[in-house]
Amino acid sequence: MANQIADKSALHKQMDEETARSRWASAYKDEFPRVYRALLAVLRSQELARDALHDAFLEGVRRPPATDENLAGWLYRVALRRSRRGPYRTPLVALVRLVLPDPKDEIAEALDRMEVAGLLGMLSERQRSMVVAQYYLGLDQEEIARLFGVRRGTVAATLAQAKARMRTGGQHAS
Amino acid sequence: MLRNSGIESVLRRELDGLPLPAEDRWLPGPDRHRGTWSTAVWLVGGSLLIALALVAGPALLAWRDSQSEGQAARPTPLVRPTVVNGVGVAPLRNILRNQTLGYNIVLPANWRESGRWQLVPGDATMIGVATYTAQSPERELALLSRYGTLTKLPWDVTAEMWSRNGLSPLEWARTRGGCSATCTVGNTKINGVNFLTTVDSATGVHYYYVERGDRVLAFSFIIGSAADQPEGVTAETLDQIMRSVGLP
Repeated sequence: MANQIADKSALHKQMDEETARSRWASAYKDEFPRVYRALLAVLRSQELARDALHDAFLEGVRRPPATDENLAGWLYRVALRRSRRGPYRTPLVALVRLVLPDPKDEIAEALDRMEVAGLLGMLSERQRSMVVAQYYLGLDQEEIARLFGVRRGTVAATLAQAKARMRTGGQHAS
Repeated sequence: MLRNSGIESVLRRELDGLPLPAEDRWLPGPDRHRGTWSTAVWLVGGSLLIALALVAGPALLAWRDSQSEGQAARPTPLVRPTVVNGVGVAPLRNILRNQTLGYNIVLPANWRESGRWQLVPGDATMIGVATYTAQSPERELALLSRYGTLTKLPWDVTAEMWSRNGLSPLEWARTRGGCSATCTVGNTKINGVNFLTTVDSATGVHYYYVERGDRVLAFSFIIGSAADQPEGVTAETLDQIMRSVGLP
């Protein structure tokens, strides 16, 4: 009997908590603003950034990361990988994009007005991805190397080239 | 010249100022919420594909016929779309992440996680248990009164994690999992991960085992009688829930 009363109490508590059940969704939503903005800086398109992040979310449903540690880095890496091999990169879509140019969205225009975004525009996508990972997501070179599947030395060299290009660009700009 | 610290602070300040989409668009919807441009891309792309299909029509039909022979029927989706005032809608599914046991699982909209197993005094080798049910709390209590509070209820899905103590999943199933003479052993792949399966024809208990380091993760359900069957839950529903399990 005591067990049943305890069971009932737990069940009611469970019902109260039911709305907060989607833990993966919740963890993802906590990181969404930061990762979405990082993706905007790299991909320069609201649709690409959102779709890539949606893909990363679904990937996390199927194959969740082992821990929630550095979830932002995991989402960023998966989203970038998805954006590279996603539907926007297929030959058919590439062909259609020639016929139907990508309309410049308000985010791209806002990015164009930004000082740093202008400098990021001078970089290759790979350089941009690493610069944003380091300076915006706060990842160290070791973490970036793991995320991109390259050696730490490659990250250091890529970041050094990117910074040099931004400094030069910054001097020319000013 | 922008120094490193300058780049970092300006980058943070400027990017943090970028507007976010409405929160209800953060999670992918059933249609993935693709925008107007990408919709147009897919429309144009789709048109090209249709034209291609028309040109290659006879060959396509012959290929389709050859492929359809022996093809199994598609499983029923977890959430059945319905129509309200002429508009097709589908109830939201629950995507649950169990950080303790290390898996994700997708449940139909009317399912929930039950708290009852958390009250069971722990076995030393048991790491944790989670039970998912479509029964109402009141009906769940009634069934627990009938079958016993420590019993798995029919038509629920249970996830358990145990210390393996050096046993393989098969050995574990044979010794601790109650897989005896009436039990059939098999294998299946779920989202790229191999599971050992056991089905006991005498008890109707289905198990899915997977090794996780020095632990074994076991999902189980029981095909019960129609009298205990929650509305809309079938053997196919339980199988679909199992097929949604994601492991890192």
